[in-house]
Amino acid sequence: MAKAEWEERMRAVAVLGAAGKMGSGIAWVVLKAMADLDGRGNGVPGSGQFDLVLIDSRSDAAPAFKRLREYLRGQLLKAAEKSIGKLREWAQDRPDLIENGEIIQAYVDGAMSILRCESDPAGAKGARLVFEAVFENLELKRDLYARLKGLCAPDTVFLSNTSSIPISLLDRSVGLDGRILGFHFYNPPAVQKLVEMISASQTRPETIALGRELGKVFGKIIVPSNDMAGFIGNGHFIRELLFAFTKYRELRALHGDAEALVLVNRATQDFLIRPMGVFQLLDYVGLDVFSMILEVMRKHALPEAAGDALFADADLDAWLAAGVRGGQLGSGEQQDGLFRYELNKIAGVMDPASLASGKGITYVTLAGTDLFGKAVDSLGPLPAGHSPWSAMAKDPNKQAKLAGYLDALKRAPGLGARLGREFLDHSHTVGEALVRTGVAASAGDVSKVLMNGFFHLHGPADWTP
Amino acid sequence: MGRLRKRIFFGAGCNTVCFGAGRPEFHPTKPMPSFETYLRESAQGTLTQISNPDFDEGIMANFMAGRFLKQGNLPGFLPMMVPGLAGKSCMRVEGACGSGGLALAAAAKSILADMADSVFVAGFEVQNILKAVYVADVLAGAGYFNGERKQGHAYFFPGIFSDRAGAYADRYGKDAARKAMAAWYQQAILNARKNPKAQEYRNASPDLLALGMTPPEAGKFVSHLNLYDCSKVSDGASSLVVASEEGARKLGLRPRDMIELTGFQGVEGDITKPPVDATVLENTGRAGAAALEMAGISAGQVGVLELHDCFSITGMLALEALGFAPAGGATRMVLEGHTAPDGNLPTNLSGGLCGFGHPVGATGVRQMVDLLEQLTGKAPNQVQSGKDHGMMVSMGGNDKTVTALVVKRTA
Repeated sequence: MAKAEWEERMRAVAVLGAAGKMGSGIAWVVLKAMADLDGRGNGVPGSGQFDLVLIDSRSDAAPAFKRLREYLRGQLLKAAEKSIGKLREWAQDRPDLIENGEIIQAYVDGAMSILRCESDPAGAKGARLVFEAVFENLELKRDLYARLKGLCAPDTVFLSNTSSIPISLLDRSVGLDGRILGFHFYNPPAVQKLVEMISASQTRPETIALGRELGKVFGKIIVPSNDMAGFIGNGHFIRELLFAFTKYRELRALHGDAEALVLVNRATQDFLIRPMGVFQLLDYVGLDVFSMILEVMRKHALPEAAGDALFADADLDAWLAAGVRGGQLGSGEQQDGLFRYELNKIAGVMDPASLASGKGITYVTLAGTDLFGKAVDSLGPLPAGHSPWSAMAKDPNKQAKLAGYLDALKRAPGLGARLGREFLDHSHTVGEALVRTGVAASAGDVSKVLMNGFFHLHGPADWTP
Repeated sequence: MGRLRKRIFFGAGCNTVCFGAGRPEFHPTKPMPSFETYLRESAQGTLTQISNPDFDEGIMANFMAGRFLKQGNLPGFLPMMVPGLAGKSCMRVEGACGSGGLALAAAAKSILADMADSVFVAGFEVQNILKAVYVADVLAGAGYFNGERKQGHAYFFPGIFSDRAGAYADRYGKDAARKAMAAWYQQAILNARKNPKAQEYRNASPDLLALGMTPPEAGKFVSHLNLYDCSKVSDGASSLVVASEEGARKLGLRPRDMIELTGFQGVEGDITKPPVDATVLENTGRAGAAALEMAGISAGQVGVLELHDCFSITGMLALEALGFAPAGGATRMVLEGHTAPDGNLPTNLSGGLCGFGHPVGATGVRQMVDLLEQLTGKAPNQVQSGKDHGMMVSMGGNDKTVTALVVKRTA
């Protein structure tokens, strides 16, 4: 029986930007799928029929590749231990592999033999599928695709992990003939189930079909998005962050700069029952990455979509200029940004006032304002039926409890509840705009992205302003 | 076999805490006690109960220290545990999960042979060094490696006993079997909650029966057992004294602190052959019948029972093999509460393998320590039985290396 196209293509794959945070995660997802295909067909992976080239052109590539290999080996080991039953079945015709330990080791070693690391994009020659996860910069990506077009076979399919750059721009400017798809993994790709799949008007139907197949192979939830800068995920996230900056400025006069940051962050975590507040999420993404996305959206998004014309924020620019960064190391360690972190937990908040007075970045703890933990006095009481995100997420009766909580939030007193309502109103408006402007096919798709990509427990459709 | 030609006693028992998942102090990535720690602690517990620790012999039961700990030559650790054993005869016995029973029998034989008046017996296993998926590899050594391992389940012994549970359910009814296995689990945990040394002592699950009823998932584990049907990966040690009348007197052990061995029998099955009938523990039955016969009592005279319930189904099959229930009748016996502390045959009162835990090489010794505590009135989950006899079965592998022992109160 002839192999399906995706299966044929999965035998020769390249990942560009593979040593980065997203790239290494994508490398893992792809490697796992290739190793499993090889193992299912050949007993254990390492038959020599599969080739995964991991490419990264950064200057310190050697140590980055070493870390990448260690990461992949660790991931393979964990995955093999977890799926030992399946591995034993695949290896049943290998008389030399008897014990779990032998089979697991053979899987890991075989899978590692599929991959090679290269620092020159020329290594992608021969790949039939190319995943690209280089820095979110239009010129950089355009130059890279132009080079790849010259190197790779004409029917090569490209999947860009861009979270904001319009696919049609890349396709048209390089002439990729509808063979490029936005394939936006969420961070970290090893864990997050969501992939936003972006197609443009000129994208070939077979490219879209291939993207859907790959989503299944990777065990991901594919949500289609139209080719509008920011797509669904960032279309919502960027606008919500900009809204958060305006709320921060409203609260500053009464509460002071640092506390205002904390209040907005805690209100969006606690009162919206989310895994983290908006400003912590900004740190997680990185202020620099956020700013790049903002720039792309400023140039290419439809400003009228949600009545938020500017796609710029003066405070953000000032903080960035002063060196406030956030973001994560390859190890997953959270770097200081608007907050200072100890073991990935908030331990201090940046004092914008001292930044403004030229003292540099200083972090403070605020008496009476718990940065991350129990109550924040100024926000007032949590509405009835509240549970922290981790408990609510696991609750078998989650839907009913959330509905009850959101209902209570509607009438609850206090600053936190008010902020919660304002954020939910805003989210609802943005969700409607994303559907109205055709970015998302439905309100359900917006919810799907927020719930699977951002781990929200409720979507804009669950809240009526 | 006739009666024993000499009186033989067990005394001065000690179990360490059974350590592993479920104990609040356990964390798989944090440092854990060394095996020497368990050995010393257990020996200390035994030695503090005797006034003159002068033994003629030492016996160590262990299954796979060579693989778990890369440590062989285990008899050499007996003098470390009991300094008086330096210069004496020591040995290690291994019969997989039945190692402890073998050690007890070997000690009794030394005394019967007039080669010793007092024997220090210990058993231990430390397994949490490895993840469960690799522990399964090591424990699979209790089966026939060349004949069974390749085709066996990743979790080899759960696979073996899942097959037995499946055969049992096919013959006697799936619902009844599942309900009884769930009841077995519940009983094991309820007993363990009374025993501070049990691995499941702190198990606070509100609905044990519901957990026990969890449908098995072949894709995730095995076809006919859920995780609650299984004993966990455990670390720990146990020790006690086996002595003649003369030996006990020399050690300074009082009769009322001891129990007497009245019958025992070891039975071996061919490890290269599958069971004739998956619903029958043939060798367990043979060993039990012979031990009862030697003791000169009927099954009905046994007041407390210690079974090798590495899996819930194994406990039930043992009840039938030993004649406490007819074939297919263990379900009813368990569901009606006859094996509970207030039933007519209180079984595995310290939690058994499902509740106390299963530090493999220690388990047989641990069972005798628990019988000793029950029959001398010192058990944490003490029952008042009108009957004087207790019985235990130690089983290695798939009903292959089996030792049954019958004991009775001395006072």
